[in-house]
Amino acid sequence: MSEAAESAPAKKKLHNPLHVTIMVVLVTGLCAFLLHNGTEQKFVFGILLAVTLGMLALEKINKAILVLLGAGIALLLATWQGIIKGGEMHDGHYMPTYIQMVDWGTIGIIIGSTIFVELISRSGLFAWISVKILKVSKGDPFKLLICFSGLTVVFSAFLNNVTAMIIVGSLTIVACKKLKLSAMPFLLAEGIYTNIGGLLTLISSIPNIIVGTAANIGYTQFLLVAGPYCILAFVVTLYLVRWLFKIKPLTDEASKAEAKSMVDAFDEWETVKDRKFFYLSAMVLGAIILGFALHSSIPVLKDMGLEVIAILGATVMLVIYPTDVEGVLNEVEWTLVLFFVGLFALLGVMGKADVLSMIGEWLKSPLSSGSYSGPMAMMWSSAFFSGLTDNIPLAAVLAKVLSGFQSQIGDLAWFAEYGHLLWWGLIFGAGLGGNFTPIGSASTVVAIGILKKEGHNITFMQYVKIGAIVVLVQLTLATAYLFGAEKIGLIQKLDPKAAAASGQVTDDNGTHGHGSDGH
Amino acid sequence: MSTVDQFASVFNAASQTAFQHQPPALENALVVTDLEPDAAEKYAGSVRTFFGAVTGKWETVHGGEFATVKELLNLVESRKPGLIVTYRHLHSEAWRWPYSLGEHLDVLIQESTPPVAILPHPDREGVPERALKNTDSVMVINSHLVGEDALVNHAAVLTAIGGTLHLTHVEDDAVFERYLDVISKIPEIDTDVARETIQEQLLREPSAYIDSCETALREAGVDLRVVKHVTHGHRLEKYRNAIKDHQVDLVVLQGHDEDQLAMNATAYSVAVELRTTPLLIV
Repeated sequence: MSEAAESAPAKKKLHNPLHVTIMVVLVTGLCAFLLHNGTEQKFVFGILLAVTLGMLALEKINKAILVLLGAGIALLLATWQGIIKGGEMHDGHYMPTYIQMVDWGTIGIIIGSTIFVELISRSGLFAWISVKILKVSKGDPFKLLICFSGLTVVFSAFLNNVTAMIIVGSLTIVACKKLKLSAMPFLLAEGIYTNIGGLLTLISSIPNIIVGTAANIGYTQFLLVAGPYCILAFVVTLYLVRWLFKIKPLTDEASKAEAKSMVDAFDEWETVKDRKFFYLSAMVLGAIILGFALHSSIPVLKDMGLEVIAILGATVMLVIYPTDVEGVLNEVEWTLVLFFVGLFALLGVMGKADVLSMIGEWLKSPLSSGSYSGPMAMMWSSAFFSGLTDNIPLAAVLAKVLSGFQSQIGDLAWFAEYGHLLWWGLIFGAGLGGNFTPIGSASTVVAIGILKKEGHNITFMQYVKIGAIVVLVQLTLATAYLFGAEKIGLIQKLDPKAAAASGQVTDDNGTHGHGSDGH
Repeated sequence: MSTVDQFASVFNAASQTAFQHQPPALENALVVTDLEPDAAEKYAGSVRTFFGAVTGKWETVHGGEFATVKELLNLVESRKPGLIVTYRHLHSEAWRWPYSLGEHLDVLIQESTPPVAILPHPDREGVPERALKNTDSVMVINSHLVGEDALVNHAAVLTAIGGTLHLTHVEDDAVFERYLDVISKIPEIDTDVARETIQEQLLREPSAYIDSCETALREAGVDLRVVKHVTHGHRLEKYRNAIKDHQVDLVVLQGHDEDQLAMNATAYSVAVELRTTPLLIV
């Protein structure tokens, strides 16, 4: 399941503490026994990684708890075996190894963006924009589909997909009730569109942040490559959804007038409690977007990483809105933050224990099979697995593997030739695969949850019949786009020297370098 | 804000109910009395000026034309009036006791499509001097005013040119306090916040609706003044005081209730109590 799955409603599952304790003891004991008896460390740690990711896919235990347990066992065993040191002195301070393994840039973006998004939400800006867009549709079902889909794409490009789905989904329910339309096609379409919007920018989704920063892709470069595809996918998916759900525009004047009067009855300013706060929020949001876009050109900030923009934005918003600082800070998705801390530590150990190199060796054959088949294998297989399980660990593991290849770019001619396409194949695959099943993306889980609350039950197979068609069309389009974009020079080959340097940084430290524009 | 419910609340609040101005055509009226033919005609003549909005012909039913409820309904059905004008307790002496409307009127209001005007009984004493003279001051009373366009449209049509249209909405304190009492026993809900926000929201919607009435009537060029009365308290007491304070000439009420066979509770209690003020049941 995709990012922020814990935010999705109806996902509260309690694990059995005894079962978890037994599992931890058994896994630790087994790994310790195997290591003690001379089994190669990469196989033992590989088992630990497989168990952790497998349990993650089963979703029986809170994902933050699970990954922290996996990371804890991995760190203990790796320290015991001398694979890593417990820590080292750094500028006179003791720095634990696991701290160095965490990509604090990603964590900073998550915390900062959650805070400023929450505050901007409270200003009513997103709701105001939503009602304005609703009015543009004049209540016509097809125009409503265009407007809600467009809104979903834009919101999910700047917010996390779940928040985007919650905002647009709740408006959909209210508007459809008023217009006496079934909300089902609109909500399912929005679930699909969050994944398209999630592809738009470097910070639109967690896999983008992880893969984009690992690949050293800047915000502007990311937007220039992903933007045209998102527009193409938007239009194609729009007509696909229209065909699948038989959405027809209104034809007679009386119905048009009635629908228009119904949406005109919405007052966008009712969503705004404090206009001063509203305008200030709009200005700060604009500044944050500009900050992300121009990050690589802003003196001083360009040397500090994208997370600084997010944290600065959050700080400014907290200064503007000091009313409920504790309440706002409580909205930070601590589950997600701890999940990342654990995941980065786990993958850091796996890197040191040569597990990622081993996975890289396994993947080398399909990925190096050719300049077309390699990127296609990356895109389609990552899409398939994203549809079945969480795309964040998948993106994180594959980003590490690709970083490993990138650090050896001088020796890997195939990676030098089309490594850039492998990175983008991973970005597109991890981003689009979530539409395949109803549990493939957290936003689809939210959409189906809203529908269930409204009395529409969508079964797994009912969704897959729609999702599979959509994913197939979007992936085919993405495949054609990937190679087309390379042909016209939109996606450029990796610069061997710079790529090797950035790959080395990522591979050695378990952290990703921060992007400046271009590869 | 992070849940569907929170955002749905925001959008529900933004979804306003706007008034649509569609004035009803009161083309002909039927005055139903239980009087002798001459007295009936005289009575009918005295009420015509009061309903200046009726543009077509007036017909009168005298007491000899019907006795039973069925006969009255047949008469109304055959004349197809746009407005029925009558009074309480036809063919009965019970008008002396202020506890009901009388069997004819009880059924007529529920069975007939056109609005029914209920005037003070011809024999009743203590009717104010100004009663039935003009409709300079018309008041709409309903338990929930929002979305009741028909009520406002009828009231606007019957308000004299340059007159005042009072639009009222009273949230019942007894009901509100009952819910607040329950809320005060639920630890998860802050009682003070609930009191403030629920009260505010309850009054905000009718207030916005009345604003939309004023705008629509002004845009349609209707020459009247709209006065907003949005408050909370004991409903009947508030209505009674407002009618007295503003010297209301005609009260417009909603008679039908989709959820029950009986007449709308607010309209019934007002219709039973206010026996000297002309009423229009829509």
